[in-house]
Amino acid sequence: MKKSILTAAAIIASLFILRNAAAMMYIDINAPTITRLPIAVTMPVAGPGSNLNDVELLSTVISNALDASGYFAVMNPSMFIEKKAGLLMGQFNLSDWTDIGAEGLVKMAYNVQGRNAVVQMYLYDVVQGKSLLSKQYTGSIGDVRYIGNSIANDIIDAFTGHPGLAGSKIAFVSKRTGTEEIDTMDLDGSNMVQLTYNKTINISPVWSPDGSRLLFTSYMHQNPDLYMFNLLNGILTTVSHRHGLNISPSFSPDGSEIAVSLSFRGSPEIYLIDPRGRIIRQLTNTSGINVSPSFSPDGKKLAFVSNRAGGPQIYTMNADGSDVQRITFTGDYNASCSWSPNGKRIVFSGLSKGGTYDIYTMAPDGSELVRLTEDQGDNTSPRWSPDGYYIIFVSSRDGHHQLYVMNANGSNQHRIIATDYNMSSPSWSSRINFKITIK
Amino acid sequence: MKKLTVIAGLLAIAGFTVAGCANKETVKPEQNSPAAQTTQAQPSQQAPAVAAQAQQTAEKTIAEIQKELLMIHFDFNKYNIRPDAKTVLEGDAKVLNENPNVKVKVAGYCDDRGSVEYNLALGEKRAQAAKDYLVTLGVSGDRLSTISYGKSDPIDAQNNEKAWAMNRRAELHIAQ
Repeated sequence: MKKSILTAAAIIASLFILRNAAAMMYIDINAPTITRLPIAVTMPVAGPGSNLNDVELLSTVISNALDASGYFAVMNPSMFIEKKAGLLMGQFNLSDWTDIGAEGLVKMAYNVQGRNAVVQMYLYDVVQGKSLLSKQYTGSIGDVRYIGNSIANDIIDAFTGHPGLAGSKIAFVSKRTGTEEIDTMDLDGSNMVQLTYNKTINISPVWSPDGSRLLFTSYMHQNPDLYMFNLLNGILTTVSHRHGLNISPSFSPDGSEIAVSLSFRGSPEIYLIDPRGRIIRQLTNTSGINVSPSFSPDGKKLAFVSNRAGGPQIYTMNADGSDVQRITFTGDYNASCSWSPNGKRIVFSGLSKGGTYDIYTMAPDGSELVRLTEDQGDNTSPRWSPDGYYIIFVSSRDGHHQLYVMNANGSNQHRIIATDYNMSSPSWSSRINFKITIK
Repeated sequence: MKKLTVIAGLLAIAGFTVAGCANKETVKPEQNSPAAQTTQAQPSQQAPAVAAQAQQTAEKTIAEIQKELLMIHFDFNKYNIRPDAKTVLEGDAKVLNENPNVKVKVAGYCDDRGSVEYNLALGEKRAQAAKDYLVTLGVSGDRLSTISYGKSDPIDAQNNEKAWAMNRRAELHIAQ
């Protein structure tokens, strides 16, 4: 292994968290730059009765999830030189892996027991000759993708100190069909599912905290109305279809309330409504623009965008609308704010001096402003990952609008998937409740 | 450049109209016009033919009226009505006052940069500002509704100042 970065944070963490032997941090996600760790994911050894397609899919899912995390360079199996060898330490040659440049190694056994697939996974640091993880995963035979995601998340945890997010979904607006429709996909860009088919305009998808519902605004009835899609039963309900705007929704942290901008009384103002669309209270009251509310994780405050001082700037207020504070003072255009899951940062997109839109974060009082993108086209619509370690955003750096992920400190910026159509307004779900049981 | 703007605007409106009403419809005669009153008052055998003849000469098609309703443009991030836009809206008000049965949806648009949500609100404000100005020119507010398309429907999808200026606009769409 390359010189492992043992930061102060990792030392402190290791004092309090008794993890497995791999308490050291191989990949420091807070480092300014991240070098992808070369990892070999071998084809699982398949037991009797195994479907070879499932076995291959398992390996593919893990490889894609590790690649999509941005932390690993998944090695091409054509480079592998190992002949027949075992799964356990001592049953294979470390040099077969270090010779080809691998630092991490994943070995697996796949077996069928009744209706279940049972996967035994071994994770090795082949440079230091250490076993990092040995774990068994059980799921129904159709759940190979879920098992693979779980394995990938544990591998990411072993190397970075926090679990990966494979199995969570990205909802976004896609112009693949020509009109703006809501699609979802996995973190590696696979499994694209089109949710709306109304051929009008569909925008601003937002997940509920538990990932079971999706709010969005649609023109399917000739007005920007607010809808909710229940992903568990496929039922679409109208939440608010008041005259004028019903836009920029945001769930409260417990999922019971929705902050939204409505203009039925004239100006776009922020209201708190319940999931059936009934108004709980009006939070802003100006004659200007108030949009993009985002709850703090404790539900006590909201960040939002208002033009009460001229152009769009970011403000915070209490959840009852009191104590409004302006928190952006640099630049004439700051919008699309989103409060981080740990409560400590607010991310937004602002118009930089050079004329591009860029992603910035700041503390909730407006201090500690940090610019995360520069000289990379326009960068807009930032949202946090559910664990707060990443930011997903839209960038035009490669021509048209595509979706990118970066670490919360701006490092490791990478495109999720290259397409020939515009993608926008991403929202990142929590990890979907896996059907499998993990021993 | 101004000329270009107007021509492109006309083309855009014409395009909308064709898409919006496949069947060529005509505006019904004004309720208080002599022709309409005559028709209603005298349900004789001959009346329909007379009324039809009157309609043909007095009425414009929706497409014709739609062509006369010109769009206005806005400055970056603004929704106040510019002096040049006031002149355009005065012409639009004249058309609307001459055709009092026509109802119009005022549609606000933005250039395609910046926040999706803020632009939707900005488009709504632009539509409302255009509506409010038409009301000051004597057009009944009952005939005017608003809708915002934010940055979703640019006239010119290119990424340059000229395209952005073209896309920051309010259009008057005759409501069916």
